[in-house]
Amino acid sequence: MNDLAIDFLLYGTLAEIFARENGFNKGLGGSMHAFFTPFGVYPNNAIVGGSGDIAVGGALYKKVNKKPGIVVANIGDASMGCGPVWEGMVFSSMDQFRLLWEGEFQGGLPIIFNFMNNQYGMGGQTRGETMGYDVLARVGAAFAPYQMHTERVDGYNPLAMIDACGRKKKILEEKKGPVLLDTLTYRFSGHSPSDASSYRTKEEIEAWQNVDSIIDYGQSLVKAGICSQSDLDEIKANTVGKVEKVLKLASSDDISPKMNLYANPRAIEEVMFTNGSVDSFDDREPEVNMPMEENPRVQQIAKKERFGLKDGKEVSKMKAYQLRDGLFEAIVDRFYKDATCIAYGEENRDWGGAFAVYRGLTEALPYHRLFNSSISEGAIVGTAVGYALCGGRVIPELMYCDFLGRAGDEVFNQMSKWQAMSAGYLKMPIVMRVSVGSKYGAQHSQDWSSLVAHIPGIKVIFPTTPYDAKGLLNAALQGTDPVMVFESQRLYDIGELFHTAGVPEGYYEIEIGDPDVKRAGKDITILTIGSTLYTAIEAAKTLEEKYGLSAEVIDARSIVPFNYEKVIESVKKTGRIVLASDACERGSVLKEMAQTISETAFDYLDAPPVVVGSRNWITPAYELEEFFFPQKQWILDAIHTKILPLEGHEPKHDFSSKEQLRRSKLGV
Amino acid sequence: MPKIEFIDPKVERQSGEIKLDPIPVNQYSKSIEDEKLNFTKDEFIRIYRDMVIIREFENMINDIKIKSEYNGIAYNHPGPAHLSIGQEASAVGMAYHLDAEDYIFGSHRSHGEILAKGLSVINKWNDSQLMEVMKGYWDGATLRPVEKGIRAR
Repeated sequence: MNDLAIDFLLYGTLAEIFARENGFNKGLGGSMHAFFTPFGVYPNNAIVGGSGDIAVGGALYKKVNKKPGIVVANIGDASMGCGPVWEGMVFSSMDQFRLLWEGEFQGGLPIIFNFMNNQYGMGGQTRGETMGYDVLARVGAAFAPYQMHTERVDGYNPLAMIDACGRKKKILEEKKGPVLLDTLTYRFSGHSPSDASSYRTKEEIEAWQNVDSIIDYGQSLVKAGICSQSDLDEIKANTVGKVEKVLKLASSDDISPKMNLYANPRAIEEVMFTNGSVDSFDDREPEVNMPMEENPRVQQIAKKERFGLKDGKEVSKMKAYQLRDGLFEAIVDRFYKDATCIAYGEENRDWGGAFAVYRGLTEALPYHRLFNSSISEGAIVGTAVGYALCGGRVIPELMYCDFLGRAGDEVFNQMSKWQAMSAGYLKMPIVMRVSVGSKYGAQHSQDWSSLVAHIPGIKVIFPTTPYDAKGLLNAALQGTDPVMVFESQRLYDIGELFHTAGVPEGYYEIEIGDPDVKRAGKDITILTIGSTLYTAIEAAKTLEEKYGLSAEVIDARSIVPFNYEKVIESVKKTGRIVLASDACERGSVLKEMAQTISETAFDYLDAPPVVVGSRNWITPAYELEEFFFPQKQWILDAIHTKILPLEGHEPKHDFSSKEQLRRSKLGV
Repeated sequence: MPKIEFIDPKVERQSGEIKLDPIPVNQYSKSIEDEKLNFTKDEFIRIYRDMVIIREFENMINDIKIKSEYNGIAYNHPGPAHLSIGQEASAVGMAYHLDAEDYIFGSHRSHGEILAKGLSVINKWNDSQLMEVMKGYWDGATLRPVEKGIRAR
């Protein structure tokens, strides 16, 4: 059986490398991303240092969910130059694990950062050229008083390596992690077979080949009388036979076909999302500090007005059930349902989130389920990726959308891709929250939902009312896919102004992808994303009152996926559409929507769809924001200039094609 | 941030110095004779075998990439192959103590680690455990060609 299992392992790996459907990941992973989780082999990562924070999430999963075992991040020496690796090490060595986490959850994370130190990163030599550490192991001393138990081990000697890993594993089992290992080794092969190794001498390669660990170790076995040379020769001969066999199998198009996209053109499409519905990822009782009904926030919300209008007037902010309450209710509900559910970010515990969404959660939850993390946006998302793909639900939060750049790889290459790269084997139940700011200038006031929407594999929602916030977040938290939640800081305190029945107290879901008609009309459609909904509603009122036009306002609510049916239906009726959001206009996803509407409803349109976005500038100071973000006047001016002249309207802003082309020519 | 931890200016402003512990570098010094206490003959040999399997597997990929042929079997692999020939002892040593409940994450150069970890688990599991996983994975799609291949041999 062992023999069959070894063949299985070699074949599954090779078939994966050759992009065959029988491969471990149906050929969707490939050489650099092959893995096989039943044997504890988790994703390998083609981004240097990519595992440096993801693996920490795996260790976090084990700790929070009381699972046995340790985690090893096998990363290269050159990855020491990567920010996410440092962020991962900072995150993994946070004092709180030893000092603040309670009871059985107290203690260090079970992770070894095993730097496979082959002394090169691409053409750069780490020691002596691209690093300054002299000996890589030195770095471990920086992170904590116990110096991450750092040491250099001679990875050229298998017994030395076994000895070191055995000792380090014990340290982790005593909850004294994390550990750093500097595993000294050498690759005879180039970076890739096409690499001519022009950055090192033949003498150097030969010197390492002369102490080849396989030959050395084999000789030492013979010398110690453990086996004979002919035993070793037999092992080699057997191995060659096995390798020949799996090569024949894996290279055969009959035995190992590639994914047939002619026969099933949707084969990859079908694994982009897992679209699951899961109450809880663990049977155990969730750890909470009190019954939900005793929570002060829950009690406070119980007294609020769940519909924000009374006698046609807005209920006061104090009394109204706010958008942040909708988010809170969905989140607290999940914490009481799913024991694996955890949340973290830079100000989540005690503070309750910079925008008070988590107020009340600190009282409700023990440390290991809600905590403050280091200001490591990469690691916040990266650890969430590791946590999720190991089997837990997680809600990472980046205070501001603008900090997304700091987690660029984790969002764009990791969170988005592992479900599909595993052919749907792995799930990625991450609900990632970001807020879209205003008032704080160029680096704290950007709507980057379009950037995220561009990346295949992430669902994107942008709720703008308390009812939508709770329903969409419930759906996100019930699902198995990564969902990026955009929240506008302008709207955290807004009451429910549309759903007249108010926000239900019980659980309900709003389907992700389904837009909502917030105001019915028949002459023109306005489709919005984000807080621009409220600007559009104002514009609709003016259109009605001043120009006798009845505007239908549709809130996209979701960006990915997006069901166009309601929009197309609306356009069939109105023949005209304006699209508006706070995102900078160039490359805004609204342009994509406008194009799709043009293509699919061309026959019904009186004029091309018009997009009104923010200017392609930096976001200026609050006092100048009216020149940057779309205003009611802009929407009216755009309609007047490009769709339908409004009688007596005097535009204040230039929406002419000439101006559009001028700006484009200048890139502004 | 936590209120339970008081940051005391008197303590924080005290003068002093940080002392680092010595960092071990290549301190392992046992001989095979010493290690006979820790490993059986089979275990010593298995370590060797695992390294050889990884080396040969990667030699094969190297040949395929460079010569489009290995021991007379021709194949063109246009995709990537970042090999770790020379690093086998590190991979096998890393994986030796690890079972399936221990997770490894890797890099673009991790063929050796996949195989080392897999071989370690295969060695620790019994037949029925192995069969259950192999039969269950993609409903046996990965296993079937291997079983057939064995019969054909």
